[in-house]
Amino acid sequence: MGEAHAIFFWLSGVYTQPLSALLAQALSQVRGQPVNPLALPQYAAQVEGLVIGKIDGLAFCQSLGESAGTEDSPVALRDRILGGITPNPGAIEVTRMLPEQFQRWLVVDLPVDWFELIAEQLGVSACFSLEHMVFLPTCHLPSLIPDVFYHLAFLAQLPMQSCLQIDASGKRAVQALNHGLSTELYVDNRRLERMFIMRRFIDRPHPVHKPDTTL
Amino acid sequence: MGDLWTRKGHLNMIIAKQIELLSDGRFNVLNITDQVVDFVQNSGIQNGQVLVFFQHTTGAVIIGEHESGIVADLEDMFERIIPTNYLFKHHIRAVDFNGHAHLRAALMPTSVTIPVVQGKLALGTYQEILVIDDQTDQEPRYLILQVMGE
Repeated sequence: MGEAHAIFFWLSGVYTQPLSALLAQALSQVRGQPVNPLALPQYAAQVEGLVIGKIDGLAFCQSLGESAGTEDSPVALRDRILGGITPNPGAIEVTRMLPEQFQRWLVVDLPVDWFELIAEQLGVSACFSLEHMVFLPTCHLPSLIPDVFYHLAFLAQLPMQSCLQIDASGKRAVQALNHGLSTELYVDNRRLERMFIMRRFIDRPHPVHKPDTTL
Repeated sequence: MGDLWTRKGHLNMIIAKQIELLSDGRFNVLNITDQVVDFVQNSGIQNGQVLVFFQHTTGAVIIGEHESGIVADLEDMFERIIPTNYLFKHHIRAVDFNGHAHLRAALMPTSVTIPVVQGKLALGTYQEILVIDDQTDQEPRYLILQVMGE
């Protein structure tokens, strides 16, 4: 296993809710009852199309709204989705702990115009320069998986074993590993910080290994 | 090791709740530790145990470390011993084609029980509560959380 020199952080799931949770929240609001977007027809294909830019944001909202039976206009649905964004300033804080020797990249898995509407709210510019933001919808990837893994390594100009991605999607994390891209699951900020310490990215005493026996 | 907690008396509270998970199956691993912690804390129970029960036959609930390599290795192990594309007799009736998920589920627990001591789950540092959903369709997944104690 190589040493990580470039670290890619996925926007959705790390610095805000996963996309599926955002969509579920918006659709549930408009329908007045819980909606599981994963059960909607063509959902997976639509989301992949959105993330890699085959469908623009408004076309996605139009299609999503139709399949969920909502009456929101595409713009209203987009605003509802983005209005539900909850920033995760704790993740920004932990990311900033990384020393400058690491390339820090942000993987933006949303349309560029959506990102522009929420970037300030999320505060990601505190960790990532514009040239280290990868806007997936503009990358012209034929498919998300596995192309994105190879594309990220290409952008960093490093072999894949020198790259690491931080991703809240367990399935994508496993797929990345199977293609040779090391991946850490993002669960919460405490675990993210612990992982940085365990991998010796940041110089801190190693966290306690034993269960808490002081209960 | 001494007793963490000793007390004689009656259990005087049992609280249960059903939770629904968004999952698209196919060996999806979901970390529900925080949901269980919140449930126990909101119950007000200080000492007892919490049961986490998966209400389906195509998945499991386990305690493990939520690390992508471990998840990948687990999936790889199951694919080797119970391959997805095997000709399962369960498929003869042509109702569904998830024989692998049923067999894998038979090798894993459908519930876990965790001690609750002084209002906290007595989990080890790297122990987390993970749901494995191996269903082939995108359907809601349900679990029962039941905490009992005082």
